[in-house]
Amino acid sequence: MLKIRCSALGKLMTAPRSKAETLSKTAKSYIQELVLEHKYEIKKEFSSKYTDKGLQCEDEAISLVNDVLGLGFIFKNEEHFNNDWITGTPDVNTDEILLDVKCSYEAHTFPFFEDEIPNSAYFYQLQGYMWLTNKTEALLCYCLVNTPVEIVEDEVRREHWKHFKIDEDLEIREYVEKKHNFDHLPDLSKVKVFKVERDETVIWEIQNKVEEARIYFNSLIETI
Amino acid sequence: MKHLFKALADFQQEVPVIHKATQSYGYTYADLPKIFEVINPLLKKHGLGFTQLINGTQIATCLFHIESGESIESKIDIPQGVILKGMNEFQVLGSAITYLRRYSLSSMLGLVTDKDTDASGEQIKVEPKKPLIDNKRFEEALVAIQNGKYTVDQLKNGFELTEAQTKSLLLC
Repeated sequence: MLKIRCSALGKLMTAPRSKAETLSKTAKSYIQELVLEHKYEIKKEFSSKYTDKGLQCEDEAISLVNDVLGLGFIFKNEEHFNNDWITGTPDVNTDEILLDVKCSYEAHTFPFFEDEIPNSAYFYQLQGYMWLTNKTEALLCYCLVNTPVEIVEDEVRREHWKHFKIDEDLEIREYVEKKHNFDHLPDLSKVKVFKVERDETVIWEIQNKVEEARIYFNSLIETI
Repeated sequence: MKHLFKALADFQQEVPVIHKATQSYGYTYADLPKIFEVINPLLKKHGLGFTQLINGTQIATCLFHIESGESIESKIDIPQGVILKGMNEFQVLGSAITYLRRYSLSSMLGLVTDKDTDASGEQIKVEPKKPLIDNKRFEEALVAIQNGKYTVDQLKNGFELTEAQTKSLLLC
């Protein structure tokens, strides 16, 4: 039976263009990928500098959140959860705390002044986690941590290409390195927390959407 | 060729190992400016010069002895039709030319490039490690262990502990 990963709920929950449709184009594209994966083991691997930073900085981000929020000891969750509709692995899941960290790639994408979650996909992701872990609230923590050296080096090279420079230009290097270092910011400013409360209506909508996704999934499986 | 070969042999006796131009984040090769910086004064001293002409799809590196006019040459093909992610055609070409110039010249002159172990100590690539845990957080982890919300194994498996932290863990 098809189950949807919490991190993909944002795609599934995108609103369709017309009321006559149950699934959006984005949702359908995602389900088509799942069909190919399920039937032919054609898996769409996705990674980018943004996801690379997120993965590499996860531990550091959890540590930063731990320091800044004073929540007692929090630690990386390794347990994978699932119910009849969805699956997921939240970043932190202690008895008291459920949270997910998002590492902003650079300062311009960090929500310093936002009052609401900048990306609604994360709202659905956290609703999914609360559903899976039976929690009533969750924290979405954006973190601004230094970009790992390897990724900065890629950026240095990319910036050189952009300026048609073959040999190293120290000004370019300094510019890039500065852009990816946040040591001069107080820790408190490097964590932005959005509290999300469990919403049974949203969870019910997710459940319905997964049911719709299954119908579409099964119809596609039969056609290819 | 006796003048050229003698001058080249003398040059090789004098030219040092060229350390890789390690910046703060550690470049992994000796780039052309670094190589030029080292070899140019020595080439001049021994009456040698070189050209690296681009002929069609080849780079011809020519080393010559100034007084006698003796020369040796090596040619290398510039790979065509290479596509590199994030680079346009000209950037790929520029990158290839710089790369081949560096290696052709190094090869012709018998240069050795190596890591700079003097300036920053031997740099050894280490495998990714478990994250460290600072003492404040470590104390919080111990409290969590005492309260049955976390385990010693989780702590050991999740973090790279210092010697002092490992010792205090034994006392738990």
